[in-house]
Amino acid sequence: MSSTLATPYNKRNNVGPLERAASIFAAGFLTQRCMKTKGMVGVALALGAGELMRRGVTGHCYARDYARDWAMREAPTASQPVIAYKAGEIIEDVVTVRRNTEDLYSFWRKLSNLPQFMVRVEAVKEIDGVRSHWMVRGPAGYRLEWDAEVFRDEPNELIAWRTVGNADIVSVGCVTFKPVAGNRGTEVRVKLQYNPPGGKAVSTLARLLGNAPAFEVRRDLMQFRQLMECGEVISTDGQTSGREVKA
Amino acid sequence: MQAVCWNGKQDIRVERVPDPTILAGRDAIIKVTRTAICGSDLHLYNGLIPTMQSGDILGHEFMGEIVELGADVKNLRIGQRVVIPFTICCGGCFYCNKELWSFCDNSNPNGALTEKLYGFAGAGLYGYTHLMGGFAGGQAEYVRVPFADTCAFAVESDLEDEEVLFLSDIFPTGYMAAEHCNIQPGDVVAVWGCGPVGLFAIRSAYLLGAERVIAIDGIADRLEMAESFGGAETIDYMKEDVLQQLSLRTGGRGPDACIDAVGMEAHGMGFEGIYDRTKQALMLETDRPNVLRQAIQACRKGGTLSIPGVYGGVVDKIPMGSAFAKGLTFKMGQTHTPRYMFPLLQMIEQGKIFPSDIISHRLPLREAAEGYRLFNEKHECRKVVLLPGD
Repeated sequence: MSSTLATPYNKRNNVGPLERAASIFAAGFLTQRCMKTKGMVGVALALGAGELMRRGVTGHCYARDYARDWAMREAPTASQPVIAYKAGEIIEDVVTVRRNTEDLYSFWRKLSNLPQFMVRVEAVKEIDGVRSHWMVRGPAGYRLEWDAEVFRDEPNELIAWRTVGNADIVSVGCVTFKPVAGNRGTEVRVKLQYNPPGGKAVSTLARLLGNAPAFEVRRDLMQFRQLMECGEVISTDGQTSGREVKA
Repeated sequence: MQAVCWNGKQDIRVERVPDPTILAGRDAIIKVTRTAICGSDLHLYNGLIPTMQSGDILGHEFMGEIVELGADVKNLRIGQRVVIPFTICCGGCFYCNKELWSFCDNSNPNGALTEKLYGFAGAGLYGYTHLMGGFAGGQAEYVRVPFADTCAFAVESDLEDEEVLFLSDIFPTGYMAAEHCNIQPGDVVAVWGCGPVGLFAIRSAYLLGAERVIAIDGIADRLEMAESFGGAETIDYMKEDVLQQLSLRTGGRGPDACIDAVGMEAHGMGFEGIYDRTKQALMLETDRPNVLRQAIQACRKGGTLSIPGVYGGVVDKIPMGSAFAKGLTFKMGQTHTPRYMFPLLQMIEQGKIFPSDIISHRLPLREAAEGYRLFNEKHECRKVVLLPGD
């Protein structure tokens, strides 16, 4: 894993190796579907499959070029944007946790704590006060990895991070901690923007298959609340049932 | 150990399954001494509530003896006798701290999924579908109790197990239903359904100062119990016109409060009953709200409608215009059980009520399937208590 700052944008080859594989896989899936689909829909599926296949084989995505050009028009002065303004997938969610901002901020800021409530995150290694290395369980058993840096850190209020270098998923996000009136704890709000591996087509497919990242963010936030309010994440993993009937 | 497993609609089997183990620091393992079949278990038995899985262990009314404790439980000890509230509560969230225990934010591991389907997630429940957390239930020889340090209610008194067992659900449920009626001196309370919750609601209404309680059911045995256990006057809906009788018996005004202790599986009469059964079968309606409709029509202006009977989804043809015009107050929801366990234990100790009187059948755990069948047929079967290990 490279830990240099964001590599320059490569116009000729802007799709990562994993994403290329995913594109080809998705193309295969669509091809299979379009065989069974008649009419205009079938034609559209075939065209989509062709484009995904081309994208996977050549490693070049026109849509991403376009999005980047557009973003550079919109935000020409933003320093080192890792994702174009409003591009990729955007998720926002919030929970209210019955703890003060100091407790919640300091637990979250120790990034190696995050796997305790983020289901797919296997480990976060803190390299120094700013850099960290992430290992995440991806779809279908893929291990995804990236380096990230905290680029804004306002104690008890905000942590913002973004991926650096050649990340498997390019993302930028922030979490804010805001006290709620009436001594009702803290609003914990996450905003996340990422380039889905395989692009929009694959992320839509993932959503259709019930594997929506927004749902996972929700579940992780609920588990964060469990951990902070009860000291443990509630689970039934490993409990007994009639599905393991003794002979 | 032996456990009562759900295997599909009206398919209950007692199977040998692995013993439960401690899974988290705040867990306890309870050796179950008494467990009961609840009216709400019949909704599962009849396959009316989705997200059960074949092999799920049933049961949310149980008590027993602590045999194992997680490392973080400091307020309980091995050997203690405990009654377990059917709603699992973390004790740390906004709702637990408002004593709205059944809304606990943190006790449902599938909460994100439940939110997606219902828009919210309530507390986790034992043996009551995966949307409610998928916890293994207490109709077994042993059961795992999460958040035991908050949930488990220790009973030190020398009362028999069967006198305190119903603190787990139906006594608090009946009591909360009566409490919701905000009973004033002179009030008449009508209670639909004389099953266990209805019976406790009747008794509780008197304990809270009701002048008269009118109980409505269609089964002779249950009406008899409403009189003998509850001390209520009764209306047999098979023989009498409920709305007319309620009006005649309340000076033409209607009851001050109405309690629907029936819920989603009401036995509707005539055309209305056929209409709802058909819609339910076609999945156009999940619940059969005959009692709800009748209670809205019967209740006096400005009265209260209290609903301890379980509803699971969508109903229609609710006379909302009538409810609005009469300015009715609706109170409902799962019971905030821990709130009531201590005060109700005191009432039992003081001899104000003898909960075990409602038990009609005692069966060994291995005969649970027969217990479900009997209870589902209802006649002569009010409450089934299961005895593990016999």
